[in-house]
Amino acid sequence: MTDVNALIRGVLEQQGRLPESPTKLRDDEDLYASGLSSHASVNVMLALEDTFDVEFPDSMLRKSTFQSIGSIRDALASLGVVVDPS
Amino acid sequence: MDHESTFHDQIWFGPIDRPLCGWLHGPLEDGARGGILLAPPLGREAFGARHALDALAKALARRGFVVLRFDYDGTGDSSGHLNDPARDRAWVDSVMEGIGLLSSMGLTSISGVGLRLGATLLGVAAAERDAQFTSLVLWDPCESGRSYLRELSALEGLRRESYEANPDGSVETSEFVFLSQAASEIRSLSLIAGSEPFAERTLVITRSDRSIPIKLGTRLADAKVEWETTSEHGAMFDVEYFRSAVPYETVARITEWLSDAPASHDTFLRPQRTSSAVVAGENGVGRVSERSLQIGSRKVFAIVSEPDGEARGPWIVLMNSAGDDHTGRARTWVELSRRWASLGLRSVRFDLSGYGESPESEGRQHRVMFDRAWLDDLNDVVQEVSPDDPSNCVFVGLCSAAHVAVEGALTLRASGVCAINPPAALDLLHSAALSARSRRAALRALSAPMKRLVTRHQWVAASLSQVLERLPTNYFVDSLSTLIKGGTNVLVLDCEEDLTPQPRTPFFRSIDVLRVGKKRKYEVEMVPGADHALNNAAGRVRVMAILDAHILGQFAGSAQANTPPDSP
Repeated sequence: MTDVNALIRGVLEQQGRLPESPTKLRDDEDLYASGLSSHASVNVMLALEDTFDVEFPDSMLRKSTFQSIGSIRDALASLGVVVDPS
Repeated sequence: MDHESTFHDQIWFGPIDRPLCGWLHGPLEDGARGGILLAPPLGREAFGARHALDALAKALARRGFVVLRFDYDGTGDSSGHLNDPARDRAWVDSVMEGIGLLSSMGLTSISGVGLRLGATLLGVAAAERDAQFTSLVLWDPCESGRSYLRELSALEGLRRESYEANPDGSVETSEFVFLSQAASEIRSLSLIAGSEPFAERTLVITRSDRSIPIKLGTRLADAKVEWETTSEHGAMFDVEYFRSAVPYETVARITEWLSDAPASHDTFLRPQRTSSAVVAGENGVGRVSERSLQIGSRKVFAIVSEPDGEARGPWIVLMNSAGDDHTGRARTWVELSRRWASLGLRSVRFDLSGYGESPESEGRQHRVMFDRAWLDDLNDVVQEVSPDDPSNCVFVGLCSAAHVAVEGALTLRASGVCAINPPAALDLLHSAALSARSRRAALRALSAPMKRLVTRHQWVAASLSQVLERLPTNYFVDSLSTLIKGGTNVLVLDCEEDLTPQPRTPFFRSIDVLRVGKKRKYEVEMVPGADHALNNAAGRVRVMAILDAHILGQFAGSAQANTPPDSP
């Protein structure tokens, strides 16, 4: 089963321009407090859509969706991405 | 071979009843190796792109090309409004008008460089209007109008806590609001429709920090299409305008690539520069004439808006903030200038040194938020438009420009000042300006540290100035009260975001009361929903409505003030 968390962290590593590596962040850690800017969020959003072949609807294009690795995972699950239950 | 001598003219072109604004660059000799149309991006992307496209135009002119930069219909300084009908057709028409102008000059080879949605529009022109490009550069192209609007809408949603997408299909960006009809038309623009090549040779430059959209890659899978990446886009677009960097490596690469094409040698006729154009007045009523100027030794760029008939009242002088250019936030300075001119008031909107079309002031390499040269810029503009009575002016500015407006009004004893979201430490900035001009070396030495304090610790600076104003000296004064005592009409608009930061303790609240409270000699009108940079549409519309009513009510007669401006 695809390790969705790892893929999310990979996207954040490449696109998030975070000062600290996403591998060190907890799932519930606030990404904006960790340095994620609004412009970088857009790059993250586009990269997630490419990686998982989904499109976030307008209703999900808000700060809370990309607040943490956990919230991103939940958003992807709601779009049909199969998430490893562990 | 580089051409040392080049020309650079602002021109009006296209339909006489709805002219487009552009900038023509080229070699001073009669011969050129071809024409190049630079199609810009839209909205907030246009601010940072202006410097990049200007640098590219100059580089190409030195290589012997004639280059046209321009504003699409309803954008920038061109005629029309952003949400006029048929935006998709109108913007492609603007591209065709640009091609027509270059062709009419005798240029037989026409190439194009499109940046972001500009690339999309060039592609549509090639696919649907049979625009014949020798070479075409698609620079970070938007796959479609839909993807462009979606990206901007996402940025808005990810920037603001309380943003909700509009269910009617309209799109709010931090620069413009595209109403539902215009948004629908923009969404229909597509770079990926069709299958024919766009040009004899095509270069696609994409961002190295984004993957290539699959559909775009498929559409452009052709042996004649070259692909390259750039790492310079983030520094140009993903930052505040005053921090935006020109992507010099990308500019050089595009210049080389276009120069590699087989050169033609056209004798071209440089169009006679039309100094002015009639742009439509509000709702087609009240003709408004506009002309561009390059003022003073620093060649400050300005556009004057005048009524076709008799003008009355003072000159309204509008300047950019560190977040925009002479067109103003969401093109508000253009819209207001033309509205006021249709009702009899003259105005001039201009770029402070280093911004928009005005060159950097001497010795500067980067744009700054406060530049002492700006006070000289304002003085030069006033001396140009109102030399017989420099006080016959009303200065309008947002944030850093509000500081320039206040300082200029103090120096020139202006008729009026409209300060929108002025810096919290406005008075300390005034003290710094006064100190810099002092004959006493000790006071002159204080100027730079005061300015640094304002830049780095604005709330400490704001608190300090409240204390220093109690001293019996002319160096620390309430500058706005001084203006009122001198007879200047003062309007100050501010926003919640500009109050002292949370937690708002009694000490901080006292600073706010002293700074903006009703005990002052002037009233500071707090505008609900406004943010400091006027990015949020609802607040921005309120601010501009108040400004409009004030200008017309105070300086053009109350009857005109009852006619509301268009929104948003």
